[in-house]
Amino acid sequence: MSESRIERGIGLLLSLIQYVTASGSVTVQEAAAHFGVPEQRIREAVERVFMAGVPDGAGDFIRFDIDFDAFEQQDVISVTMRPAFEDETVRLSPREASALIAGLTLVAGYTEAAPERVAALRDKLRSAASQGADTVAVDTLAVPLAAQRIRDAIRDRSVLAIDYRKPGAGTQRRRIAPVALNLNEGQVFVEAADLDKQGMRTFRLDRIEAIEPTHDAWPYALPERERTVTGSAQVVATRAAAAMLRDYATSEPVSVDGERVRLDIEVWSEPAVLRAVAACGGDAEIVAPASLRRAMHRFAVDALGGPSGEREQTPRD
Amino acid sequence: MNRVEAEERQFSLLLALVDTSVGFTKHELFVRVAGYQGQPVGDALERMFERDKDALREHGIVIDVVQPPGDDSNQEARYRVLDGVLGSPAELQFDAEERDLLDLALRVWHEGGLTEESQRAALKLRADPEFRGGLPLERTPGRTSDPDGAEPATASILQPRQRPRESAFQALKRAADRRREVVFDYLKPGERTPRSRTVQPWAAVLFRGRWMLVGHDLGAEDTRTFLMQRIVSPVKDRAAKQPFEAPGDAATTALAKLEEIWATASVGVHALPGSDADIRLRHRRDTSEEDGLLVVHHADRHLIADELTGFGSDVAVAWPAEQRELVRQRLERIRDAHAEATGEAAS
Repeated sequence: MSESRIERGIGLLLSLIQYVTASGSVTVQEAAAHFGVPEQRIREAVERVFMAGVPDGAGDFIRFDIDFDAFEQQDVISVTMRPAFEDETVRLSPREASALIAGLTLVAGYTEAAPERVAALRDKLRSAASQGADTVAVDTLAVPLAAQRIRDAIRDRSVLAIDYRKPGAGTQRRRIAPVALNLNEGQVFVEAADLDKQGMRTFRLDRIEAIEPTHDAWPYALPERERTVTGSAQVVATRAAAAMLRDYATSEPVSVDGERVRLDIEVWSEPAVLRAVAACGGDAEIVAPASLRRAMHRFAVDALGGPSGEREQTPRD
Repeated sequence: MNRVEAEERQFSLLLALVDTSVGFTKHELFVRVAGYQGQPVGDALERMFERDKDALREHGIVIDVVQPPGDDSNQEARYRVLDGVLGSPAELQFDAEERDLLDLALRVWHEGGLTEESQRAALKLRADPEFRGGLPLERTPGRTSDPDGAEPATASILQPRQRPRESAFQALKRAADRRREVVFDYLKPGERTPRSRTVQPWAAVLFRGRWMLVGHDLGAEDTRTFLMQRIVSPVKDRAAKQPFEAPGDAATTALAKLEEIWATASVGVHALPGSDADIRLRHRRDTSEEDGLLVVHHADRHLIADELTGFGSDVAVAWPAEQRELVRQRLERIRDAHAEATGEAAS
């Protein structure tokens, strides 16, 4: 169990007081599991809470009190005296509330919660926060119908047939057992067992052309996830373009001339890498391997020449 | 020296501050709070007090300073917890469906720009023994995935994630909290050389998957929106020359403005029927079809030019001419940069 910076600090102490009071009495083990921290951290937090107190004005303190015998002999926490935080607690800060509201905005449409329930929860969070400027906002995502159908299939464990288009290949019909929807930077991905290829695959939702139910049985065991990387490429890019390629990077960017950096990226599929580099708008250059450089050159030449004869550009301003 | 751990000292400070309605002077706090008691009064103790106030602020506990009229010595100033920081524990209790939604909402930020705030929020919500959300799955009790188990929990169906691509994020938030101005090099979309900007940071906005900073640009003397990904230097902060206050609705106003730009800015493109570009652009938000062209919306002509360049020969821009030109320039740069067999930049 790791312990984050957040869990070392008075946040845990404050929360622990409320938690123990609401629970009546809890074991150190239960509290550690509830907060996801080591038991030792809970013991330390308990000792700190009960070491502290409200100043009585005469240089001494009115202290929190617990059943110390139960704590020392049985690892049980049971509060007997609370000089503060009796019926009040620290509210969410405006930014904590914003983080919750922003997260809710991003995911709510993918859940089965009714929109009015979500709106009510948003209002409840706003009123549970202390006052402050509205410093975080996120746009509402329109949830594609396909995402809802896949969500239901995951829940019901039903196998779907999808028409899927892979870059550089035509549309293929695949039978999949979906296990998760990943919402990643505004893009939706479907994690699924591909029943024809007998492997776990990730599908981009916006490349799925059609979804149909099937009567196929849900697989008895899900295949292992395998990661196929065919090689790596070296790229020189502006810092902003390097940030766009960061998901594929296998090395930290190293400065080459003050304005540009060099980095290695994974090549999992040549067409996909060419697209990712081209989407940097000319701010990224493939340095090696030479074959990929040539492919990048061809990519640009083809695009400048027009994809096919019938697609003469028809200006319309 | 009687060493009291920072955590214990800050907790004692908080207890003293919540117990008073009129506030305590600094001197009173130094005498009353465990951890300050017995320490020599001086710069070291003052600095410790400032650090502790900052630590409490991180937890959303803002300390208010009341200066008696006519006193500028700072000796009589009274410190207390700002009204509204404390509320009833019932405000943070939620029913089962709400808890499920909050768990997912927290999960969005596990690795993202709002990780710290969501972890702090999760810690506050876990004061309720019923609330078990917001922990990474492997640390959540009873949440290990069981392939033959009952209906999968919502959290295992949906895996929302916003990654910390924007390293500037933390520095910007911290500066915004402390009302300090920030200086950074910004590579504006479409430009090749970064320019230094000085900005009063107001708010962060996530729009179509991209984090943006909204603030007052002191060079431009106007409100500006910056893509965090295009901040190419470390963010430095400094005391503001002019004290500033973020407008209360900075984030929502900026978001509404971006939506407005998006609604009016569009590009007509030919997409090779059935190509990857065709499918993805059709799925893109608000895309419509007109005279056999896909009408694609965007918030910045340079960013959409980059995206369209990524589709290569699958797309051709029909209108506006300026947009066609921007894509053509990008493709020419790519072609020219890759014309030689070995990279110019290779060592």
